Amino acid sequence: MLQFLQQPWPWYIAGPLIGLTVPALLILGNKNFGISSSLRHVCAACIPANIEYFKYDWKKEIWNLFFVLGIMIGGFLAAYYFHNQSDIIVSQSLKAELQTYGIQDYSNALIPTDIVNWASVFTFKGFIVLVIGGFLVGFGTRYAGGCTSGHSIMGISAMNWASLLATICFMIGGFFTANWVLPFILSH
Amino acid sequence: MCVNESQLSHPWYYNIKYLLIGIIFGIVFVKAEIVSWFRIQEMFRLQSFHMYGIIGSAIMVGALSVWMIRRFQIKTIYGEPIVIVNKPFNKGIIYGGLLFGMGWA
Repeated sequence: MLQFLQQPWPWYIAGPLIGLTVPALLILGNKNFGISSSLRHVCAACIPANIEYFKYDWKKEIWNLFFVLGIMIGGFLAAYYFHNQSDIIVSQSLKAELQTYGIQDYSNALIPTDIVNWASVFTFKGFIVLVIGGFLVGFGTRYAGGCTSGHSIMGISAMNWASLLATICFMIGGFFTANWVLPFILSH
Repeated sequence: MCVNESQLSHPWYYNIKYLLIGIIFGIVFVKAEIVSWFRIQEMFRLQSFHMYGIIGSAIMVGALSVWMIRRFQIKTIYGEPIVIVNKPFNKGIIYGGLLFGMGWA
């Protein structure tokens, strides 16, 4: 059992589990699945200013904060107690490309520790990757009204065409950045 | 935006069940390496099927459940009818979507 927990899980187990979150939240209490709006709730709770966008009953959405807190706890448990002992296995062509940017450390399966560490926040490259990247995710989600969970999973499940469009835009933005912008940043 | 369509109000500890679902969800995210930078790079370079398999099967399971909930008018465990909110379209979806994608990678 523990051995199974420590291996990386294949997609055909993880995908359906994520899919099942949609009906689980709906049936447990009429909650529409989403993660990024939790950021809005935190802002509404912390900023007493008179901003129209934050004027709503955030206490009613507190379930979302419980949900996100749970994700953090679960992520922590998985990363510290059931984590995979060996290096992450990535495709050979990606490995070859990353080699040219000086990324060779695969012991941390989630983060490329060669470029992402506390010291690198203060370098040009690290600043762009971490701070600008974080800003884009935060700003983009709010602008589009949802992230991969709310739009791609929940929205497409409900046959909402605006969500399908949002997902297509996520992918275009991602393809563009991964193939052209990021190589440019990393090789400088 | 995820909204609470429930009209009922409950004491705060009713929210513990969402905490539990969140914990399972968090474990899946880390264990299936969905949050891994390496996996995301593979996805956008079309070098791996992993992420597409996850997103695709999640949508299929999700769509099937939503269809069943609508078809059989399944109610919540408190007996409320289930409301699924459609996100309205606006231009922000396109611009925001592109920006999110850029930050994702």
